[in-house]
Amino acid sequence: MKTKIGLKTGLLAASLLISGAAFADRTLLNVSYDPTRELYQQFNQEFVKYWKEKTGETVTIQQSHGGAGKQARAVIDGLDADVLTLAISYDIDKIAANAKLLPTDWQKRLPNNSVPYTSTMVFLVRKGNPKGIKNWDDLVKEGVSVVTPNPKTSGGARYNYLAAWAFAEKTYGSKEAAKDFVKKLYKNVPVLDSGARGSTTTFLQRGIGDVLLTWENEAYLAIKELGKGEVEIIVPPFSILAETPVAVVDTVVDKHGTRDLAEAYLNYLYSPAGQKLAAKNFYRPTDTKVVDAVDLANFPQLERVTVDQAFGGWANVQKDHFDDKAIFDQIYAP
Amino acid sequence: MRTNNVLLLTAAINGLLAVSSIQPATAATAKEKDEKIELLERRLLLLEQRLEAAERSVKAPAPAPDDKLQALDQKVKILERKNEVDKEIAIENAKTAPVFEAGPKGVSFSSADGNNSVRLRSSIQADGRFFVDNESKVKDRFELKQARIWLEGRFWKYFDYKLMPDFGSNQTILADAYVDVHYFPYASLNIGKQKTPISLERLQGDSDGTFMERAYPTYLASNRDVGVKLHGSFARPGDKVQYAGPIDFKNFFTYEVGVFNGGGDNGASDSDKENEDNKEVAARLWAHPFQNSGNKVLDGLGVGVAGSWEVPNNNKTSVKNLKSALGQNTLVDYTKVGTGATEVAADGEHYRIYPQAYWYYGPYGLLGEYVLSSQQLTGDGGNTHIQQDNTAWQIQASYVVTGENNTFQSVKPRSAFDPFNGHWGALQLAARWTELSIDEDTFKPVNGVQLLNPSNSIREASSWALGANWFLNQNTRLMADYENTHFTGGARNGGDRPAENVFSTRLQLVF
Repeated sequence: MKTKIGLKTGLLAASLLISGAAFADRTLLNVSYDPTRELYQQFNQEFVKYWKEKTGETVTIQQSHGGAGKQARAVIDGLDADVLTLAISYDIDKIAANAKLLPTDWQKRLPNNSVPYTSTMVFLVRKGNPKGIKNWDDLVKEGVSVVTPNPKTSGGARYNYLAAWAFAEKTYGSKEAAKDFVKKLYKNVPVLDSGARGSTTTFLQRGIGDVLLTWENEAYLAIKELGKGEVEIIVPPFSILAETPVAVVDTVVDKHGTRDLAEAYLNYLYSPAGQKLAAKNFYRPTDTKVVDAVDLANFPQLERVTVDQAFGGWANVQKDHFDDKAIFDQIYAP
Repeated sequence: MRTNNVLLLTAAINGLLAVSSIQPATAATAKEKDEKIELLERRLLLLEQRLEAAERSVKAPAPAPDDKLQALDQKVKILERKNEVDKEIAIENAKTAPVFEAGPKGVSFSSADGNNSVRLRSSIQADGRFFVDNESKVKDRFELKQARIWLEGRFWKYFDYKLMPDFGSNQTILADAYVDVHYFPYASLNIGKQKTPISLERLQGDSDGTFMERAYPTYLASNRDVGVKLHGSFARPGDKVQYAGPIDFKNFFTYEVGVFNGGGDNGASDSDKENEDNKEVAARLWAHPFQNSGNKVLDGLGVGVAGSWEVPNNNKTSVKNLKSALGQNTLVDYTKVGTGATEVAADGEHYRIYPQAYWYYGPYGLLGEYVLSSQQLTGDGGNTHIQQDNTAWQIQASYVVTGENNTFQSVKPRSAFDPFNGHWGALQLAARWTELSIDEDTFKPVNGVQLLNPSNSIREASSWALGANWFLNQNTRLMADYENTHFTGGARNGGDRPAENVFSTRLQLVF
């Protein structure tokens, strides 16, 4: 009898321990690129609230931000990211191929090729646009100082570079002309920051340059913070479609026991609440039907070319333009 | 500017015309009139030229001071920002850049996170050994006792290694070669050739000892041996344990237990292969019971006990000669057998018990240990056995005259020897008493077999020694030891061997 009581007590204690472990607070690490800080600060609050209501569990979401390339390298080197919300799919491909932390077909697992929102690259100019910058060819004029980050470390900078290249190839009709065009453009770049947020600092805080090439959301954020009138957004008639993908890191979530949480977190980006938040933070939602018209009005129509259309995919872009001794190394001399 | 010039020119023309209109009325000749008109025309032309020049200067103004200032301001800002970005990049690069260090602990390369490293180290011990009475069979000599160069380091955070050959004493041996896997400080695994965890003084660093040669208890222990050792460390409750290597004298409590080939007493330091299946099990417990207790006097007290057990099977190689401590004369010679014996071999149970302790407080230091080594020997191929119970003990005291802390890991001088600036390094004085006792049964005939010849092996040895250590810096030490040893037995016809008096010096460089 005594043994039975002991056994029951033990089972009860064990079940309490197990249930306690199951409902212990969990933490999710979201490794993202540079300018998404504000979006995810708000999104995390919303998601934590949503998850608590849905499951009763209190969770903590941690964020890590930096140049997209650097962030991908950090994950490959051991940073335990549960989810990735990066600037370009190539960086997640690298994590899948080199560190084997998720399958190589990760992009098929979520809607719209795992891209819950998009963006594009625009110009931010000083009050009154004193240099009269309207389109990409204004950037190569003598005396125009252009601020953009280093495409070797920043996803946004890669989109800037590729948009300029695509514009030049379309306008002047050849790859050689495009190469010459971006060479002239980078001759007008006085300093290369490692990430988009650093370039924003260079342009706004340090007062350097006539034009900042940046994410659309980053440009709107600058205006929101500085107030209208200090700087102006110029949306060129032609730019690039910036597809910013998200993914669950399988190996890490299985190790942490956070798979359900991580999947719910990313799915929530596609929900009406997530799409609205993206639009409010000036990211172009993929589901425009659920977003307020006022927010949609922030996104003017323009021709946006995709990386696949213009360059045949990120692998080609990397090989032709950004590998060591590839085109960017040839045309840029600090 | 342009308005002023026009007004000036108009006034000048009007003036000239006025003058010319007055002059004819004063009886000037026609010729004079022509000359004056010509003069006026030239002056008018000159004024027109000046006006044109003035207008040209108005059309192409010099850069305004504001524009120049703005351009300069941009240049300065760009330079400042570049500097900021360069610093950011340098900080980022430093996080992943390998670290190179050259210092008192040798030369090392390590990854920025310290999880991977390679350190190159070296040691040289150059000795002079002089027998004062000159009755010894061993000659006065200079000797290169130790000449080591070794690699140690870490890979993947949890795998430490050491690879240490020794070229001293006219031989080349592999002293240490092991990998220590330490995921958990309380349960790490050391595999390879290493020091067997028995004798306290043996486990002390080879260049950290107070005396040039270790005392008798060490010679009844195994030397370095090949095997597997599980070891762990624990902190005092409330403190945090830190991994301190495979030989840990830093934490509150440590244990070591391992299985080794078993080399016998005073096992050869170059033995890395085994001659039989039976293995030696060795274990050691060690504690600093007052560590971080607030009792400063007893904080540096360490106590422990070690033991070993094996059952060799007619093993001739595990019976080694024993030598005097400083003189290194052979005291017990297992090759010189007694009456009826052919060859001495270990055959049967062999166990050791080693209580041990040390105490360090400020400049003071004490160290002591005792050993009972009991082994079954045969002198006739296993027909006759003798249980030989040998014992040894030592006690040593040391004092750092210059006031530095005395520790089990040697002495660090406050300042390196630099006579030009009045720095003299550190000076330590030490004294030791040590005794060795060989079981009387070793010399008694059993069934007509006398294991050892009493004319060649001593029954007891008692040694006292004085030592002085001058630490010139953290790496260099000058040592001078004097030792007097009295023997019982070991001379012709069973008489006592004459006392041995040895004076020895050493220059030691370790980095």
